Amino acid sequence: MKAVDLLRRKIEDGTARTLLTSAMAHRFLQIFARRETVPNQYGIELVRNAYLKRKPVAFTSLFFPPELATALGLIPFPLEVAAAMISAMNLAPLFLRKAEECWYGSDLCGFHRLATGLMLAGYLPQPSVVLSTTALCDGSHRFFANVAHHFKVPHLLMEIPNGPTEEAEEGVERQLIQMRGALESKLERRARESDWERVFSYSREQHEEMERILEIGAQVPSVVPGEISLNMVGVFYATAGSPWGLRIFRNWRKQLEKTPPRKENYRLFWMHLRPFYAADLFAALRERGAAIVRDEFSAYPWVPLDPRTPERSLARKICANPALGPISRRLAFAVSQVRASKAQGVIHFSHRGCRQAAGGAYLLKEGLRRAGIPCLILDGDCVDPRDYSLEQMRTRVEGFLEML
Amino acid sequence: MSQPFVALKGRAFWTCSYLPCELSSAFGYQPRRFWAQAGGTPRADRVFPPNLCSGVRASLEEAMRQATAEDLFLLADCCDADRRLADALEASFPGQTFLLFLPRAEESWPELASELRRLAGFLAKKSRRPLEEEALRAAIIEEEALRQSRRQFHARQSLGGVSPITYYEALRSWCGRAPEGSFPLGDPPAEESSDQGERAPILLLGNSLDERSFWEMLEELSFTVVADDLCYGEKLSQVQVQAGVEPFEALARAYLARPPCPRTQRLEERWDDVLRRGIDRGAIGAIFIPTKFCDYYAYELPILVPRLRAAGLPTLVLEMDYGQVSPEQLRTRLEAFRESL
Repeated sequence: MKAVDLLRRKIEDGTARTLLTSAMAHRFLQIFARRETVPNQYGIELVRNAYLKRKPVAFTSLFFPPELATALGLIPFPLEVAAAMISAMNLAPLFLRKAEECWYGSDLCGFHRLATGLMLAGYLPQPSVVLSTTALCDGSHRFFANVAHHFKVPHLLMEIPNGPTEEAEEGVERQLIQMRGALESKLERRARESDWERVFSYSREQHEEMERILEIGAQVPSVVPGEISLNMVGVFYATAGSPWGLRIFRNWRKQLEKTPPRKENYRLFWMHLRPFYAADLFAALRERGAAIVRDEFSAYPWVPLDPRTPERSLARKICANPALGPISRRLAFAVSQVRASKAQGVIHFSHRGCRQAAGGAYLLKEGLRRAGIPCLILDGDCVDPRDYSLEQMRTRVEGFLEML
Repeated sequence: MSQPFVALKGRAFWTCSYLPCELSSAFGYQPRRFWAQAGGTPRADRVFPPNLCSGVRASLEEAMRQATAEDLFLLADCCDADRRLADALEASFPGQTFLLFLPRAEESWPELASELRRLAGFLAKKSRRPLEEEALRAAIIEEEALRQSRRQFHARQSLGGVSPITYYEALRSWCGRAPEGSFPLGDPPAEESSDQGERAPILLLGNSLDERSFWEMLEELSFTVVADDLCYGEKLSQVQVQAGVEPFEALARAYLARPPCPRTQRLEERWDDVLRRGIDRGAIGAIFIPTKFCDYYAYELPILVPRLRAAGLPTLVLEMDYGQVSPEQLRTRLEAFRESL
């Protein structure tokens, strides 16, 4: 039995809550973990470190720079990524229902609802602090505020302006300096230049591996399985600055270099995230020879990080996000990525509760049409499988592929 | 049902009440809050998916139906939906939209002051006239006088002395949307002498309630709103701009210091304030109507509803699409709630 299957079974029978805080159970899980993939090993270790309180835990949002938490000796625990993992284990409805019973309505983002369900069911570790940004997601501000309220811990929020101007970077840098000061006081620990050197070095090397993976994906035919690439997005953001990040992406790049090319009839660029429970949708795409050769979030640009000016570096990294600001920036980025990856069309997965991405999907589609790039908007939910219908999705995708 | 407005030259449409109307007034623009129109949002539905904030869809619909090349759209980046509204307006009316970066923390007033200066630059360019500090100070004084009269109105309202329909008309007027023949901007109606005392005093929570039929039902079912938490309701009258301070700094400080909305970082203060106002003014129940697909208010429900109920205020939560009401369903729920009080 695999460790992930074991964990799933324990969550289903309700015994996992006790086991998650048991050192003996974790030692047992470690034995099973050796058979797991490297990203799953990371997940198992993250759970062990957080639940056994080996270091203070910081709940983080997807676009919060984990380098800051790691440099200060915190365990960055990415709640949205945890929600995606639970969904991939087909356990989401259990926790979604729990959240919905407590006034968290089904219109809210599924990632946040699912993480709320985990929280209300007592499945999250006790954090010391909650760290989030407003980048690309205003809903996350209130989600993380409610989480901090539930656990009675401080919520440190970083407000991200609209786009990469000098003034915006200065504003974010100021907030990072304040946040670092608040965390250092709370933790009674200072981040030294050597800490920044270490985490920035891991971050840089991880990104170099990702750039090589993107190059491999751009080859014709591509050898990168897009559905795996979409699984890796959350891991990529969550592990930046840690040895796990480098290990996971180096290992994956090496695997890809040995992977033989697959039959490829269509090349697609994927926008936003994937439905994590819907392995069958990606199998259907593979059957038709449709390759997802690149995705939006994996391709975000790299910004050099200087350990002598850590806050400024992280501010630049945050503000460089091409989806910040007007939709024209996201559109220009998408067009450039479609061209660079030699994709023929775009699939935009419109996650139901996402006002940022789904809200701009029609405008984006029109912009892509003007650039001569066909786009399919697939409506659905990234983590909530309850309204999912493979046949409906398949019909829409096949219609789109025929048009290509 | 909402009235169509008469086209005027130089209208400045706004969505968020953290945007100081003083600035657009100083440049000769008439501030007008977007207001949901009857007839749904067919044009906006071609631009936005159905699961985007119904208030934002209604705003785009109004602009697409009636805006002209003379109009401006002054938006704050208060949520992802408003950012997308800015994108859609810019696509349809190039160069007429301004998107302001709105900080959430009170101590971030220098950033807001800087953004207000940028907004003044935009208005100067559009109006082809430089900013005159005297004009801005005069606009601040005028707006302050209006808020003073609003505060008097709310004082009367808090004692149950204002009917729901009168309050609705006052809100429209304050938002620059008074229908013809009603009282003009800044001149709320005289004290009502009807039997307001027999009405059920309630606390009204939610973002925006533009649909007249809802207020008519409150009237028919003998409710009276003694406290509210609407975006452009009582909270807005509490802005107090300090005289003698550099105007942009004064505006930034005053608007960020007003009673907080769910988007700010002063949440504990906000929850306490809402609850205290409801209880102190003798509300016997609360009606909570978050705009559909508004995350900020949706995240208030799990916190505020249990607190209100624990404080002895029975709370009715209504999910209502902005400007589109199913009247009989609404009436049934309101009637049942009224009977339970």
